[in-house]
Amino acid sequence: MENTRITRSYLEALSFSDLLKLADLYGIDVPENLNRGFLIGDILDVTDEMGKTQGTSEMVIADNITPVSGGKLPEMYNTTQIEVILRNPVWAFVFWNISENTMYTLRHSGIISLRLRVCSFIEQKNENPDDSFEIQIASTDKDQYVLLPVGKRYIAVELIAVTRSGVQKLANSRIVAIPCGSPLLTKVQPGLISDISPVMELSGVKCLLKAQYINHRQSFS
Amino acid sequence: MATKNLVLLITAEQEYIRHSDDEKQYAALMGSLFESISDIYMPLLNMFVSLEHDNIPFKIALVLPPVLCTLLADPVVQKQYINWLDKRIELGKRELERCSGNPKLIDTVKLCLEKAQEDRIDFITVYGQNLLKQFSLYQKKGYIELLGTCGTDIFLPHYADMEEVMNAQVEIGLQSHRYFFGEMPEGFWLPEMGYCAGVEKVLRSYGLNYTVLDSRSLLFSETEPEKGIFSPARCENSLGIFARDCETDEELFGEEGFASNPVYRDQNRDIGFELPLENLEPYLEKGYPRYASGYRYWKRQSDGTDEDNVRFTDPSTDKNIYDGEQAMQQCTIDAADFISRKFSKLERAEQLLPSSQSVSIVCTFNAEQFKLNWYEGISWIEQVYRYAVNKPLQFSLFNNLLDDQYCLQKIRPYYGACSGTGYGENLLSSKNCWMIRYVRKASERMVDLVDRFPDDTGLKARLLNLGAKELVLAQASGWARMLDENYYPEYAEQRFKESILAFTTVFDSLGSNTVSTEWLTDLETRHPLFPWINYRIFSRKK
Repeated sequence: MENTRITRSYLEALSFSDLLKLADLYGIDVPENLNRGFLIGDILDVTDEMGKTQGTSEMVIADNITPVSGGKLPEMYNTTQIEVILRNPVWAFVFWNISENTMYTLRHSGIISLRLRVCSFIEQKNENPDDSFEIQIASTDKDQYVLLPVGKRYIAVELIAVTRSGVQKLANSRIVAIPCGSPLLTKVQPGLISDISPVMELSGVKCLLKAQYINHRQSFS
Repeated sequence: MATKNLVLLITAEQEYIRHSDDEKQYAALMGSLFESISDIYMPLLNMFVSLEHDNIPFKIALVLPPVLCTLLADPVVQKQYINWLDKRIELGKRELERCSGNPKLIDTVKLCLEKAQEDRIDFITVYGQNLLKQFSLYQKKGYIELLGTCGTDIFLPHYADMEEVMNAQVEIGLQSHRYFFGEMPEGFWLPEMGYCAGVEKVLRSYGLNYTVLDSRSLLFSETEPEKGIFSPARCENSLGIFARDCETDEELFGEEGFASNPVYRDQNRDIGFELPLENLEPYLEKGYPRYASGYRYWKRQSDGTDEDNVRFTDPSTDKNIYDGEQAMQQCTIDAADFISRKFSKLERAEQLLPSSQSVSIVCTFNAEQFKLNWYEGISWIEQVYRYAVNKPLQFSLFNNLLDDQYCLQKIRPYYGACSGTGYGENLLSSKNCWMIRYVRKASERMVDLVDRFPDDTGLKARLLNLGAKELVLAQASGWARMLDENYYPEYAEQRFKESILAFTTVFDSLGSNTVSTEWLTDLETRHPLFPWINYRIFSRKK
C-alpha cells in the first residue's frame, strides 16, 4: 500500500475497511458514521499535505483538540484597542480592550481614572479634533453607549488613562462619519414641521417624522 | 396618463438551525422552519399554480436567503419535514377522536388534518421535495423576480468600515443564488434593509442593479427625492434605489390592520401549548419543550371571559371556533380594500407628478409576520391579484421599472433599517451588544488569515474554509434578534458562541500548525452549508 500512489481513483476502488486501515496508517481519526466520500477526502488531504510539505513541516495531525478557552469566550482580548459602531445616527456603541501588560503598567504608574474622549472633526482627514468631551469609565467597564455631538460630521473616540504621571492615550478608534440627513430631521417637534411638499407628505414623511419624534425626541436636532 | 404600478415583495428569513442528532431537543426551533414550509412557501407555490391556471396576471418579487435555500435543499431536512408532517397527521387523527362529541369543532379539526395531508402530498408528489426548483421555474416564466441577499442575515452597517466583510457576504449570497437558481440576480436585498453609506459601492462592484430601502433612507436623504417613494431614485454610482411604502406594515399588521380581524385564525392558541400532554403524545414528549402543532381551532375573537380560558377543556364552548369559509370571505374584502387604498394613493401621486409616465408603490411583506400573525396572509395575496384584474393598475417587477435608470434623480440615501426604531437598534441593544466585540474581532482575524495564507491548499484550506463559514454564521443578525426578543435566547447565545469558538479554534490551529481532522470533519459534517465557500472571499482588494 505504501508504494502505491494515493489518488482519488485508487481510493475509490478500495473497500471501506481498506479505507479505514489506510486512514489509521496516516493517523486520521475517523468519527462514527463518517461516510465514504468524506473519508476519501480526508485521506487525500492528508497525503496531499504530506507530499506537498515534505521538508517544510506544516500541519501536525492531533488526536483531538482542546476547545479554545475551555469552551468560553474570553472576557477581553489581550490587545489595547477601542472601536466605535453607530447604533443609529445619534448614538454610538463604543467598546474597548486593555491588554494585561498595559493594565499592569497603568497600575504601577498610579492610575487615577480611565476616560473616553469623544473627539469631533470637521474633515475626515483632519488630525486634530475641533472639539471634544470626556466620559469617565470604570476599570471594569468594557463598553458604553455615547450620544454623539450635534451638528458634527465626524467623530472618533480615544481611550485615555489619567495617572499620577499625567494623561496617556491608550488607543483611538477610527474616524466615523455621522450620517447626514434631511433638514427635516432637525425639526421633528410637532408644530415645527412645515414646508413639506405634497409628494413627500403622500410618501408618508409626516408619519416617519412623528415616529422619529416619539422615539428620539430632539436627539437629532 | 401615468401607468400605475404595484410591486409586491415577500422577504423570508431563516437562521441556520439544523440538527440531525438531537431532533427532540430542538424540535421547537426546527418546527419553525417546517411551519414556514407549510404555511408560506408551499401556499405561495400553490398560489402561483392557481393564478397561472386561471390566467390571472401576477408578478411578485421574492427574497429566499441562502440559508433557507440550503435547508430546503437538504435531504436530511426534507426527511425531517416529512416526519414532522406524519406526526402532525397522526395527531390530527387522534384529535378527531377526542373532539368527536362536538360537530362544529370536528370540521375545524378536519380542516387542519386535511391541510397536513395535502401538504404531504404537495411536498412529495407535486413538488418532488424540491421547492426551489418550482420557484426557479416561475422565475423563468417571468412571474416572479428573485432578489439576491447576503450569505447570512448580517446587518451591514455594523461592518461599515470592513469592506472585506461586506464583499464576502455579498459574494456568498451571489454564489448561493447562482448555485440554487442558475443565474445572477439583478436586485439585492439588504438584510433588515440595513443601509449605510458605502453599501452601494459594494453592490455595484458586483454588478448589482438595484436595492430596496426603508422609506426613511429615501425621504430623509439630504437631497429631497422629487418624486417621493413613487419612483425609484439612484445613488451617485447609479445603483437603483426603491423605497418601500411605510404604510403597508401598519395596514396589515397594525392594531387595526387586516390581520387583526376577529374572523381570522388565532395563531397564538395552539393545542400544542394548551392541551394536557397525554393528548399530544407522541407528537410532543414528556420532558421536551412544547411547540406549535398547527392544530389551531379558534378565531381571533375573544371577549375576555372565562369562557375563553376553558374552551380547550370544554369542547361545548364553540362560540369562537374558526370558520375557514368566513375567513376566506374576509380575505376577499380586505384584498379589495387594499387595492382601493393603493390605487387611490397612486392616483394622487399621478396628479402631483403630472410629468411622470409611471408611478409605483413598493409593498414589502415579511413572511415571518404572515406565519406568526396572519395564517390567511397568502390567501389574501392571491385575492389581491384576483381582485385587481381589469383594474387600472398593474403588478410589476423591480427590473421593469428601471428602463430610464440613468435619468433617475441622484440621491445619497440616509442611514436606515426596517427594524428597531428605523435604524436597527434592536441588533445592538443591552441584551446583545456583547456579541459585536467577538464577531468583529473574528472578522478582523479572518481578513488577516487570508493575507497570511493566500495560496494554501489541503488541510489548511479546509480549516480556512471552515473558519470562513463559521464566521459568516456568527455574523447572522438573527442570533442578536433572538436574544433581543427573548426568543430561545439561550439557544441563540450558544450557537453564536459555538461559531466564534470554532473560528477561534481554526485561528489557533493555523497558528500552532496543529489540526484535529476528527474535529474538522465533524464540524464540516454538522454544518454542510456553502460547500463551495472559498476563504479568499475575505481577501483585501489590492
